[in-house]
Parts: sequence; C-alpha cells; structure tokens
Amino acid sequence: MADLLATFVKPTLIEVMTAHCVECRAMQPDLDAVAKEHRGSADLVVLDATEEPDRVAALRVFGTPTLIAVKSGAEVARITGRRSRSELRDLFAAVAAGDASAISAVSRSDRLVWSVAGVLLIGAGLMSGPSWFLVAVGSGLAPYALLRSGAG
Amino acid sequence: MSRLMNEASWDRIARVVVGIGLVYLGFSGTVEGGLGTFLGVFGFVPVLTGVVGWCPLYAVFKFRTNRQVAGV
Repeated sequence: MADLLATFVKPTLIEVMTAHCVECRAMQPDLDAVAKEHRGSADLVVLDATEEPDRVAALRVFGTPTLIAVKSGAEVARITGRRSRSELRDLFAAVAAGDASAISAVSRSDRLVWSVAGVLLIGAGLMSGPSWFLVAVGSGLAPYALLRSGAG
Repeated sequence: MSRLMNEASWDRIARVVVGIGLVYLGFSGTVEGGLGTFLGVFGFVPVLTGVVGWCPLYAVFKFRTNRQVAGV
C-alpha cells in the first residue's frame, strides 16, 4: 500500500467506487463539483474496484464509496459512505491543509441520528424505573457519534 | 460491498423517536402485560433501522426516502 500511496506527491483524495454502487453514483456529481473547486490545491483520483481490483485490494478497502486522504505519499484519513457536498468541501479543505483532525469518520446525518437516539434512550431509561439497560444502550451510541477518522 | 442507505435523515429521526417512544411504553410499565413486552422488544426495530439508515421493507418494495439516483 505504501508504494501505491507514495506515487501521490500532491494532497490527493482517492475515491474507491464501483459503477453499480448506488451511493457512489449519488455522491459523484457533488464530488466532481467540489474537486473542480479545489483544483490546484488537491487532486481527486477515482479507482473503480471492478476494473482495478489489485490496486483497491492493496489499499485494503472493504466498502464503497471509500475516500482516502493522502498527504505527502501517506494516508492521513479515510472515510466510508456517502457524504454531502458541504462535508466533501470540508474534506477537500482538510486534505489540502493536511489536517486530518478536522475529518470526521461519521457523517453529519449519522452523528445527528445517533446523538438523538442516544439522548432519548438515556432519557427513556432514566424515566423507566430507571432501566439501566436502556441507559447503557443509549450511552453506547454516543462514542460512535464522536468517532474521528484514522489513518490505515 | 457498498454501504446502502435508503432512508432520509427525517425518516431516520422519526423512526428513532417513535421506536424509543414504544420502548418507553413497554419498559416504563405504562402499557402492561403481553402488549407491554411486545412494545419493549419490537420498539427496537424502528430504532435499529433508523440508526442504521436502511429499511429492509423499503428494499423489498424498492422504495427510498433519501435522494433518488438517476437510472436506479
């Protein structure tokens, strides 16, 4: 994997997709538009997992769409799943700046839903006796909502 | 291989709110007996589908509430 990433000298966002992936196709227009906005500061490289299985396997990608942020030939972050245009814009800006800490592994919609679910479950648990089972399940959702992306 | 989602955010939140409401009715004892147990257990189904963002029934009927993709 290191050999493959070493070929990317400029800040690069690698998109791993497949032609039949619904989420990839839904995100592609936004991704292309944002890549156009950031032309010069960060490149977008698209890898089709069907056409280039060896390269994709070398990147250890297990789901599509996967976006891998590469800075100075090293992976700094990766996220899997569809993102909104504003999230992609933030992602490109973070890649160009090499600031992986600004990239969240969880989409905004997931964070919102999981946070609401966590808070409501904790509240329902406390009002139900309390039911520590509901409180525990609710508490378990919060850490996932705060996940940050990690390299590798 | 891909992570499929067929629910919009509003749909997911509605499922979570309704599901947790049902779970609360079952767990708090507001609804007692077999129906209360049923709500306490099966209330988790909409919660789970809301958290995951994918509804198996939507998939069966090829329905989705999130953005439609051209040609799909």
